[in-house]
Amino acid sequence: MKPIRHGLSPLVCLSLLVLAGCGDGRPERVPVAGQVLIDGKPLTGGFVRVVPEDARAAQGEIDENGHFRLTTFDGEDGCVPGTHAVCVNAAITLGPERIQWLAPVKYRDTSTSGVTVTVEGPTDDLTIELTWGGGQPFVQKMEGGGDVDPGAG
Amino acid sequence: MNAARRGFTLVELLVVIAIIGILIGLLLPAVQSVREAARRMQCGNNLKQICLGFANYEVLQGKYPPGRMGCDCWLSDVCAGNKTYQRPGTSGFVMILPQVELQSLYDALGFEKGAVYPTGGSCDDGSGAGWNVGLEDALRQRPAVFACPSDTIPVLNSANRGVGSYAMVQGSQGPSYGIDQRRVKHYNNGMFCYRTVHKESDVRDGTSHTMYVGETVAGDTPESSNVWLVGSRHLSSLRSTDNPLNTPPGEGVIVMGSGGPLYGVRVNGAFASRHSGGANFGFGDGHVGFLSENIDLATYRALSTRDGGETVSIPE
Repeated sequence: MKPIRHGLSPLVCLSLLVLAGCGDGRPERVPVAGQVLIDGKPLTGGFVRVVPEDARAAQGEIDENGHFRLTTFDGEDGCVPGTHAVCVNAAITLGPERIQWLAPVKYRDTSTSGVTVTVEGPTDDLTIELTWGGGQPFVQKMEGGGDVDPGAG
Repeated sequence: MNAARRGFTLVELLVVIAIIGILIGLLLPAVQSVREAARRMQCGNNLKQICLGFANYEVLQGKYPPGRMGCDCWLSDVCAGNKTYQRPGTSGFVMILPQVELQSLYDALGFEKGAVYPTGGSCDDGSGAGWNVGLEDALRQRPAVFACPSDTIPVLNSANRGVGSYAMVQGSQGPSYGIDQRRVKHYNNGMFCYRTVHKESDVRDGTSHTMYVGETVAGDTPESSNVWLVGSRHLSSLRSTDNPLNTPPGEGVIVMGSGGPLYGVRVNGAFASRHSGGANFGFGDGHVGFLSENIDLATYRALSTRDGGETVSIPE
């Protein structure tokens, strides 16, 4: 019996080695989905970005009903738990000189958005509320010229 | 002793094969990781060459080259009254060719005589929008210094233009800012813009804390097209730190037009690499750092601006 027991320990070591190689070295994330509302109505497009102070940011595209799912690294892996700053970029480029804003410009950057979310665990109903503060969707005119289709390169 | 005692039994043979198999199984990943480490080091070496090229150019000319030579149909400010430079998309990489020991290619591209793409001309009548076909042979070159050995790109794309793995840092204002002439193209907060040039004294954050050149992947696909000869907002050899490092092509924040992505392509302008867990960046002082893809966005962006005034330490 004894030789067999000794024969097993290298196998155990090997499987431990193999398993040890399986961690991806990435921080723990929890799946997060939700909805972006502006003055109580769903935002109909754009992107939401959750920006932790000491970890990689998570992003998600907003659909026509305001729904989004966050991705940090790949798939829909959500974001790291905690309280994080949020920015929402809801701009439609109508041409080289015109941008249509579905939400105020200030929400584009975390430094001016003033929005935070707290993620404690997996959720599918995280609500992010924005407001026009009396304003309304508008088309921003920018000074500028044309833009060659970059695909030609 | 009879003959049967001299050979190996089946069990002995199987045990030997199993042991050899286990040893090879242990060895193979180690060999692969050493090979990748060597490729990563070669990639860093390329970035160092390019950054030293920029530094030498600055010493000779008193300023760095622009990220892109021309203005792409803007006629104000930095682009006012200079019709010759109205459109050329020639990248800063072309302008430093003599500084990376590629003088002959520089001469063949005839940079002083014109631009590679678009060739020049006027935005009013759309002339000069294509490639300078007289340079066809030179346009098919892709020097090794502009390709990362880990990157899985062909030498030429479907239009027979050299595909690169590196891009100059435009700054932190990327697809979130659309295709804004000022904030994205000409006055972005990084080192390399359309037409606008910077001096070393403009780098108030310090050259050791300012990224000049980074990596890209999938330069042969529309989402991340990278023709090393050309500088283009969010594409080719100009990228931003708007999206996190290693955001896969087509994902993250992109420029939306009415009815879908602008020009029908999901362009995120992100830096990315095939190395595990991060990407190499070349800094202004010539050193190369490997940034983790888990870097927080604020630090990542601070390293991409030239005078943001942020105090950042480069994470190990």
